[in-house]
Amino acid sequence: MKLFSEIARQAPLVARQLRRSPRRTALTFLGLVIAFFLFTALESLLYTMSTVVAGASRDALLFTRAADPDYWRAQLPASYAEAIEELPGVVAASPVRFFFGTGRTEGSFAVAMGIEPSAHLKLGIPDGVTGSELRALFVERDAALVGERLLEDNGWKVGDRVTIGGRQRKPDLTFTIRGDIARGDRLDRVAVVRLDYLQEVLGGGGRVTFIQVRAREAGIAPAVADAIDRRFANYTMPTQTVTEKAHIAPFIASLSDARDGLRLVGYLALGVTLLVVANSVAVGVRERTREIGTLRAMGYGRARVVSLVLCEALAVAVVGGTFGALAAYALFATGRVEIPGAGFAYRSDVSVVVRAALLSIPLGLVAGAQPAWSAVRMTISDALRYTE
Amino acid sequence: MSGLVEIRGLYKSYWRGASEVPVLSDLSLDIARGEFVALMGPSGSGKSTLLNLIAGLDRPTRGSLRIDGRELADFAETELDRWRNRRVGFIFQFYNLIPVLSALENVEIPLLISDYGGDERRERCEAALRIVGLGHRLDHRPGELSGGEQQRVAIARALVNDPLLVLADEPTGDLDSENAEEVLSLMALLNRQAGTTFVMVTHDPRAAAKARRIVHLEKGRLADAT
Repeated sequence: MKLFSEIARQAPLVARQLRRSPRRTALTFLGLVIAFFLFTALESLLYTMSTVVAGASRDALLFTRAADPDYWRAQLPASYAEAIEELPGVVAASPVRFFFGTGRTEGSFAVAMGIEPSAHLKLGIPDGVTGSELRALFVERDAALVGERLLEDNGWKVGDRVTIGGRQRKPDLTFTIRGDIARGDRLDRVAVVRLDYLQEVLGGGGRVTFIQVRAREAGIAPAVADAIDRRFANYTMPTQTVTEKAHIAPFIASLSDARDGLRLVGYLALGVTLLVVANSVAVGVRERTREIGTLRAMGYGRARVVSLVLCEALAVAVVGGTFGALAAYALFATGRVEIPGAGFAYRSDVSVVVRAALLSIPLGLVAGAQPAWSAVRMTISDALRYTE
Repeated sequence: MSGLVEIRGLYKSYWRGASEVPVLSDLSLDIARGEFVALMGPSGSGKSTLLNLIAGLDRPTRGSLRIDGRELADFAETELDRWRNRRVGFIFQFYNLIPVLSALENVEIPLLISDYGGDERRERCEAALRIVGLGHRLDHRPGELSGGEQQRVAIARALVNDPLLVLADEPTGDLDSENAEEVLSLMALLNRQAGTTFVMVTHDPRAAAKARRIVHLEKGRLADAT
C-alpha cells in the first residue's frame, strides 16, 4: 500500500519530467513503438507457424493423390473415392477437381474446385456458408460458393453470374454465385462448384485432381494413409496419401529454418531500442543534475532518486512497448495480412501481445539502470554546483 | 536564545590526487535559535563548505557538529535525508526550481516525501506562497515568474516544512538590487516574526547587513565576528 501511495505521489513529477523535452520523448516513444511492433510481428509469425503445425497435427484430414511428381496433371479416377470410403477408419472420401483460370481481369488468377456436395459435406461445411446457400449447390447445377478473398479480388458479389476464363485452350467456366465462404476458411480463395458441372464443362469425366479423406481421428490418420496407398499399390495409377501436416510441411520447413534468425532479429530490435531509451534517459538525467542535487538536498534519498529515474524509463518503455505490441496485434489478429507465399494469413494471440508488453518492463528497468546510478553517484554538493 | 548549531574543532579537507587540501581548520562556532547569521569571506575561505556541513550535505573530516543537540556524524545516510527533509530549508543562488512544475508544485516537493496528506500539503503550500506574497501566482511556472518571484518561491519551499534552520547560499547573487532587497527583507521579516533561524552565505556586504550577525571566514578559520 505504502509503495502505491509513494508511486501515486511521485507520478505527476515523473509525468512532467517526460514532458520537459517533448521531441526527445516522442522520438524515444516512436522508436519503442516500431521496435515492439516489429518484435510482435515476428512473434506473431512464429505463433502462426506453431498454430498451423498444431492444427494440422490435430486434423484428421488426408489428401490422396496420384503417386506422380506431377500429380496436379495426373488425374486420379474418381471411383477411387468409393473404395477408400470402405476402408476401416475412413469417415468420408470426396473427389476434388481443380480448375485454374483467369478472373475478371486479364492475367489475374482464379481457382475453381469441383466437389460432390453430399460427399464433401461429410468433411465439414466451409465457414460462413448458410443452409440456403448450401441448398443452392445441391439444387442448381451451375451454382457456386465463393471464398471472400476471391470475391474481393475480382469485385464479385453474391448473385453475380461470372466466368473464370480457361487457360491453354481450356473452356471458360461460368457459374452463379450463391453464397460466400468466410475469410480464414481454407477455401476462402476458391470458387466451389459441383463436380458434375465442372466435368461437363471441362470433359475428362471420372478423373479428379485428388481425393480428400477424413480419418476417424488424427491419431490413426497415418495408418489410414498407408492403408489407402496399399489398396491401390497394384493399380495402373497408384496413390500417395499425405496428412495435412505433410501437405504444408515444405513451407513450414522453410520457415522453421528461419525461426532462430527471426527470433534474433526481434530481440536485436529490442536491444537497439534499449540503448535508445537508455541514452534518452541519461541525457535527461545529465541535464537535470542540479535539480537532482536539489531533490537530494531536500531529503530525497538515493533509493528515491533511483526509483524516480527508473519510473521515467519504465513509463516510456511500457507505454511505447504496449502501444507497439497492440498495434501489431490489431493488424495481424484480423487474419487479413497474408504471409507471402504461404497461402495463409498471419495469426496473433493475446499471449503474444502480453509477452511483448511484459518485456517492456525489464527493458525499461535495464535502460534506466545506468542513468539512475549516475544520478546518485555524484555527491549532493557536487551536483548542486554542476554546470554543463 | 538557546543554542541550535554547535560546532567544535571542525576540520574538513579534500583530496586532490595524493595531496590533502584543508578547507576548514579547527573551526568552532555557535548559532542560536532564531539568529540570522551571514557567513562572509573571500572565495575559497570555506563558507559554502561550512554551509554544506551544517546542512548535512557533506561530512566533516574531524570535529563535532551538533544541531539541536544531535551529532550529525552519528546519523546514517537515510536518517540524514529524513532529517534534512524535516528540519532544514534550502535557498540557492539560482533558485533551483523545477521548470516543468508550477510554483505550488515546486513548493510541494519536500512535502511529497513527508507524512502529510494531499489536502494538508496543498494548504501548507498555499500558505507558504501567501507568506512570500505569491498567493496569486500558484499555478505559474518558474519561466513565467521574475527572478525575484522565483527566489520567493524557493523561500516558500524552504519554509513549507517549518524547518529549524534555513540555509541560503548566495540567495541574492542572481538578482538585481531591487529584487535582492525584497528577498532579503522577506528573510529578515521571517526571521523576526516567525523566529526562523537563517544562515546565509554572501559576498555582498549590503546583504550581510540584513543579518543580525556576520561571521567572517578566512582560509578556513573564523576571522572575526560582528
